[in-house]
Amino acid sequence: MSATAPTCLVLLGSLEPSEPLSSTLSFLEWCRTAPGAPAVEVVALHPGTAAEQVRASAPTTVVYDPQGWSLPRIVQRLGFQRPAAVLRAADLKRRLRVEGPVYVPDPAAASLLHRLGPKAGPVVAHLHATSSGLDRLDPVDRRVLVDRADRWIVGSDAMADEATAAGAAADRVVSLPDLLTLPGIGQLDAGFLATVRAELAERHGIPVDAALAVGVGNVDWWTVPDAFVRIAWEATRRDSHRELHFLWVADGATERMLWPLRHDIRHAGLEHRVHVETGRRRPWHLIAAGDVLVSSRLGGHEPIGHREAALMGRPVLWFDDPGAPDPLVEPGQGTPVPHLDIDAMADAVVAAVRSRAADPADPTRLASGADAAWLPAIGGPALVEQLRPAR
Amino acid sequence: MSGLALPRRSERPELVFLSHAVDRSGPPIYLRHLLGWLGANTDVPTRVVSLEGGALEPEFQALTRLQVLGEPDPVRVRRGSRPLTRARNALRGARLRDVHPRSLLYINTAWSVRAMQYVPDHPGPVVAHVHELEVGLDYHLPDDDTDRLFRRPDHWVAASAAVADNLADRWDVPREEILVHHEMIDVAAPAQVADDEVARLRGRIAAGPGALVVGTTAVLNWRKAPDLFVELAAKVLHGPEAPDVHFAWVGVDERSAEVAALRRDARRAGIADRFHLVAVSDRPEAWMRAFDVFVLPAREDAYPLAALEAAAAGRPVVCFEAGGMPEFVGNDAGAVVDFPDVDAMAAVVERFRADPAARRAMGEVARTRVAERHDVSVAAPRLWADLGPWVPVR
Repeated sequence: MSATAPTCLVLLGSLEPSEPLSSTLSFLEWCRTAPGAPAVEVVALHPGTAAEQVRASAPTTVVYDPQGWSLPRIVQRLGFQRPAAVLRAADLKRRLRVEGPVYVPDPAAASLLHRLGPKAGPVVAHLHATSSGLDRLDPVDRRVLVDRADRWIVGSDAMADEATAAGAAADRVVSLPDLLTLPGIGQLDAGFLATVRAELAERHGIPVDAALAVGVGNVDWWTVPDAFVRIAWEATRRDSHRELHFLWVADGATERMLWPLRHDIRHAGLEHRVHVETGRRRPWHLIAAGDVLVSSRLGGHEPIGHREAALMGRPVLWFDDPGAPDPLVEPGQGTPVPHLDIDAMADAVVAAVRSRAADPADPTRLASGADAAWLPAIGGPALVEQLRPAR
Repeated sequence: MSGLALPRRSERPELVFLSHAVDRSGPPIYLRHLLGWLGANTDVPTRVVSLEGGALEPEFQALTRLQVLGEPDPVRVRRGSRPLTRARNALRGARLRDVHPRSLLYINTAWSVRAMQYVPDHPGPVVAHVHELEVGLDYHLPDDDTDRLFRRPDHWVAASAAVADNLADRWDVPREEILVHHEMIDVAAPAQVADDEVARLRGRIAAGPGALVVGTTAVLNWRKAPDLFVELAAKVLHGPEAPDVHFAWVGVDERSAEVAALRRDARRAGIADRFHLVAVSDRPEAWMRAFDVFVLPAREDAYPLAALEAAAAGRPVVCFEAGGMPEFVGNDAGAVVDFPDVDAMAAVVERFRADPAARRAMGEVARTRVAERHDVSVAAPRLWADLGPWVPVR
């Protein structure tokens, strides 16, 4: 796809932080910086705390933005509800009258497809490995998504099953791991990591020489952080030879989202050992600054975090889920523990920390990631390939 | 109210209870017990103003005058809606015009303070009975209602010492103005359950006569900590003894996402045949008899009626050092372990399994204690002794 190719339209449900949005942000960022990448525009139904990040990567329109100053919103603020709705519909129709590819990484945006122009295409729906939202769609919106999608990208076998169950033709479903890009990974040398650790010491009181277990994800009970505080509580009771700290990286989370997590940390008496970071650094900076990535979720694996940690040579620990798709970590890069066995996870954290401490190589070294077999499949080019018209 | 005629003002002050609902949650059940005792033992006129209705409506109507007004509408949904909202609230509030200005308003739970919007300028005394801890006050209660709750009341009743501590330490309510009155139940209810009903309930979860049934009753939400309950079950059932133990959580909504998550965890942990999620029951006292041990895994709970009902059935109570329940359990009516020490909780369950005599002895302590402190016949007059003087005319 050359620079003169039609603009790719990206349709999103909301701009609240989520793993699908994280993957989409990686794609947008790649499009912004990579030579020859397509131009992209974003249309989102609702705003969110990640809006600034999205806008920094691509021109962005939010359809229902209570804080916005679009003409329909101004008319609505003046109290003219019906004219505002008519103006909004006309504005949307104009924006969606496109001839280029349409990427729908979030099924919550499916309702926008009702107004998509007839010449648009191909339309590519993307169901991510950790969540699809397809089952929660209004049936009318699910129908339009199935009718308009020329291609489906899925992040796991389970998502492929969901797509076909919804009506997608099996030969239109393509498996592609969730995206990540690590711009500037080459700059993550020991000096950079020392800077990050110094920041953590200043903000959270984590000693620069303390062992650090990191977890990542937004805070949504029953999804993440699930067992993070329990793991921390058990692990910090064990002798790890180094003072052991835990850091939850909740990129873009609001204080209200974090309230339950902070409640548990406080009531478990772990304020000085468990810390929450909300986005001064990219999550992978903090994963790199830690000794081990603890995937504390019980409901499903977190492939983006797993891959980021693996690329940087940080071991990953996760709860085993027999029969589920593999957690996308190469042998030797991580360890599963029995599901719900917090003791076993705590033991694994301590073992990982000791192992790194005993590593005769520089403990701040980073793997190059060059030998990761899946690396070519996760970059922007792999996704752009799927956005090309069928030959 | 009939037609558009406004009610006439009562000729004597009443005790007006403001309730968030008249459903089967703890505070309305508490209120139902109190109203029954007041009706039988005093001549104080009462009424209940509830924001929402619920399954207990007939019982409340049999005890007092019940007015279900509906939630005030605090959100401006579109331009021009605020005057309409005000008008609607004024219309609802007009149904309370007959409240005597010297009546005592009794806010039964923090959430009920929303009903104060219907009587914003009430000149009489106001009592706030707080059953909530941090989650209820800090997390769930909207800021406007927090302002109402902490600005207006003249007197404070706390459902446990833990609630009193929270009000004093985090909300600056003068400690000397807070009265602690623990919850009340009808302690005779479990004894009236037939043995064959108990056997039927145990049969529902395939628990044989020799099995230990570890149970709890609550809605499924983060505060009640079903995540820790399923972890407890896995830890006990994967123990070296391979014990014959069943775990039952009564009070679930099968359609909820939490049920799916818990079933997933139980399945992946290999304990699905011993981990049971049971729908809401209108026979909690029967389930308490079906349990052998009552576990309260809640992250915080002010003083749950369910645990008292279990105690009334002679079941020991196991809880975290969180919320008000440790005040009841002490060191002899069950066990209290540090939050979130699931290992320690599992050890207690295993100890109770291995030593039925100790389990029964602690259950008897619990049964005696709940009868001495929490039966309606004991707790209601104690509350009335404090409350009565605040009612202007008795």
